[in-house]
Amino acid sequence: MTDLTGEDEMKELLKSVCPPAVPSPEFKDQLLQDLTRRVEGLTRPRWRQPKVGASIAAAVISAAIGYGIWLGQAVEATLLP
Amino acid sequence: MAQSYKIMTVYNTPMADSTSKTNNARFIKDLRRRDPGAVTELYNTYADRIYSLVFHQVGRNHEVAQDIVQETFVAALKSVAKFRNQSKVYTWLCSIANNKVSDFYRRQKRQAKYQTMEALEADQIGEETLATDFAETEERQADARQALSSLPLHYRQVLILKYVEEMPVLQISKIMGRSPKSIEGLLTRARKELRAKLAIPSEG
Repeated sequence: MTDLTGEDEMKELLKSVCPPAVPSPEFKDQLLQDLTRRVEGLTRPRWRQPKVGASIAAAVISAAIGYGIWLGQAVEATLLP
Repeated sequence: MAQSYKIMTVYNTPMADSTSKTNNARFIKDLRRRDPGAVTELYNTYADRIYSLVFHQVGRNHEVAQDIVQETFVAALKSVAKFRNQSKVYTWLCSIANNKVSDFYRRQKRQAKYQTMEALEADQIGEETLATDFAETEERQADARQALSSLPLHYRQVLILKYVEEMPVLQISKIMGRSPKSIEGLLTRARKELRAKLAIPSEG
């Protein structure tokens, strides 16, 4: 049985049981890419961030459609006697 | 942006001086600005160490360790603004990683899933054992590994931080969010439990 009477024995045992583990190169590459991508996403100007950009685009499209409808009605009203 | 933060690694030793602290502060400032060079440096300096720490906490499961390391770094980037620069960067990352490991085990509600992990671990131990010439030592290590894996998570975490990472109690207390006195108590109980597990032959 393992004798764990002292701090040194405990350290020796745990260090032998938990040697440094190395992640796979594939995982490391993927992690770095992921972090870089996230940082790029986070550092974009606010209006270029996906959620903000989509909201702005939706507002512009809604305004254009609204203007089109209003214009159509205005022209119709002008043409009709 | 090609900046060097080499002194930062010196800061993570017990012999930190004011110069390295200043450099560390600059590094954190750059991280807050999402500077790609600082992010790469964070990854280069700590990815392996955090991976190793997490790997042993989750029963030597590579897939789980990878997921948790990824979550740790993403969380670190998101929360870097809250980092007060009062602790070492490694302490801060360890704290996030420890919380992520705890979250992982909280998600593991079904006992069956946990048993699957232990089976995976047993397979890995078996593979590693084949490669050694010192069967007796390996057997002892396998017993110890099993004993460590069967400890409650907070016991495992405190033992790994104290004896594998060789951290002082104060640093462990910052990581685990407890008082140094509480960590001392936890260490005593964890050591006692590990000794008991190693002294009593496992059933089956």
